[in-house]
Amino acid sequence: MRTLDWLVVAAYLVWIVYTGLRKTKASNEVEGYFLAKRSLPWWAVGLSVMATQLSAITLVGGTGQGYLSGLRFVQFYFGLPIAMVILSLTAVPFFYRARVYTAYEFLEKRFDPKTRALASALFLASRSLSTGVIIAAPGVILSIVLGWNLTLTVLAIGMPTALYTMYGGVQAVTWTDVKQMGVVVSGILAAVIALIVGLPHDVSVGQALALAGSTGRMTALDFSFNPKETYTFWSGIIGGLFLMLSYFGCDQSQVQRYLTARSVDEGRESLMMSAYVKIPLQALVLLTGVLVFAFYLFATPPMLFNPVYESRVRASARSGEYADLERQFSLAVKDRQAAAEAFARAGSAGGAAAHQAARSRFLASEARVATVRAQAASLVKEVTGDRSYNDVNYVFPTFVITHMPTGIIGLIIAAIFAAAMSASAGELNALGTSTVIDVYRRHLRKDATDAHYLRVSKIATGAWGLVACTVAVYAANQGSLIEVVNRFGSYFYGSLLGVFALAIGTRRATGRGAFWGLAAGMVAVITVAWTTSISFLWYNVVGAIVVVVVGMALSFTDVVRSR
Amino acid sequence: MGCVTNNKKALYLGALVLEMLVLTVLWLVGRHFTAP
Repeated sequence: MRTLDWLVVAAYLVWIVYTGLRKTKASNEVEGYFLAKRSLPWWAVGLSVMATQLSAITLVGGTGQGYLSGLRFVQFYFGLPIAMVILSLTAVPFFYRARVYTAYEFLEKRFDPKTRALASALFLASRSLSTGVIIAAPGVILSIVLGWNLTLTVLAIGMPTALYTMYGGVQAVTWTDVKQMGVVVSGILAAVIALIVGLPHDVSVGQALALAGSTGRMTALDFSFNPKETYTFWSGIIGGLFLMLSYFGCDQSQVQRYLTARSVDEGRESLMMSAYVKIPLQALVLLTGVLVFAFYLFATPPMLFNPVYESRVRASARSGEYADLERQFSLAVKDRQAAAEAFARAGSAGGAAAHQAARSRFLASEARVATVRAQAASLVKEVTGDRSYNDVNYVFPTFVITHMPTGIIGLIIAAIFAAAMSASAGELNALGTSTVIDVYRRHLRKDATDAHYLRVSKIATGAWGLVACTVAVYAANQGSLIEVVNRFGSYFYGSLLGVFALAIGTRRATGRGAFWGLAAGMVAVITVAWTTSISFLWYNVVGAIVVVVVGMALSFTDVVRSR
Repeated sequence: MGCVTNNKKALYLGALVLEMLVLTVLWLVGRHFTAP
């Protein structure tokens, strides 16, 4: 990174913190601090909804997925537009008209205090950890790729976010989210333009995509019905639908976003923005990764994208083996480059037979590159003992640092910061809200003044910021914790969706049914996760169905008993 | 009131139609660039 890049990142940080601290208008009351007095326009709330969902891992992991396996990850979002329509018709008017601060408050109005307490406790436990991970993951990647100090990188993301969220409340979160979405989209577009310009002069974008397409990277849809396969059309449209219903309909970090809208209709419109934009945006992120792959067909990629693990292998007793693999990789890459150029030329001239021969030669050379890379990854796993080694998240930052022009590097690093900060700010804001509304005001101090609750709200948000930074620093140093926390979160989503389905979808469900249904759903999901190899997207379907079935059965016995 | 309802219907239907269009485009793009 050069001085200009540092200036861009510093300017971004100052601009965002300044925006956050300035946007404290009407935050001198609890309703203003948590719900902006329900005064925000739909487009700002809509961008905030998207910014909260788009974390840095979505950005760097998405481009990495595009590089390694192409567009197929986009299927994960196929259930989203349908979920948004369902939520606009159900959850949005229910929550908005109930005049609640949190989704869990609604559960007490509908059922009883213990169902609300369990749901909010699950949210606080899983979200406090996952907010730390949202901050830690890009911290780890940037510190490794750029050689920055790990703890300082994590704190550079977490501390400013905690500061403006604590002082400015939901208005600071929303208006910084709007600007951060602008930075993220600008970063992606700059990368796409730089990639297209960076292709060899005699290779068109169409030819580059045809090269990537011949390896299967342009195939987005997989209609096979295999529950063990994570990303298929069916897991995306069914499992993804349940996940998105749960995330946008039952998670306070999202519910709070649309409760700040000026009206029910504006709340609906803010959600529908994601229905229109999310799949194309995610496809663009993945396409960026595909273009990185096409770019590296004509340049030399690193054999592995994680330099820290690579240096550990170089320093080990098996460094000779690694050097040998590097020689093989270098030869395979040169051969692939020649084959790619020949294939690109054969596309525009020559007959079908020549085209087919060039294609076969290119695919064979690509398979050799992939084989050597896989052997190097196995060697890394054996030497380091990290069986989960995967460099998917390092592809895009490494490419940016080594091949992007000065200034654009700064913009894309700022975009990674923006994605991490906007996602974690929404979570911190929601954690503070649930702590004050569901715990403090409900159980500890029921009749204090508004000024008192506002003070406690700021303290609670700041405290969650400190917890998130502490978890982030710890998680960053314990790589496997990131995986554990992500898995932990996926255990509850479907079950929470089941409880809200009982609350909104039927009048017959009782408090006892909802509470024990929720408990049964979580036990069912944990059992499925530990005893089968079913992909995690299906956990949400299992959890929601078990909660509804058990909840309705118990509610039915309650009704019979009361007669 | 009827106008608002129709606008909402258009909003929801538009999202679903757009999704089908995007899926079709993705399918066609995949077919076009993957074909031998």
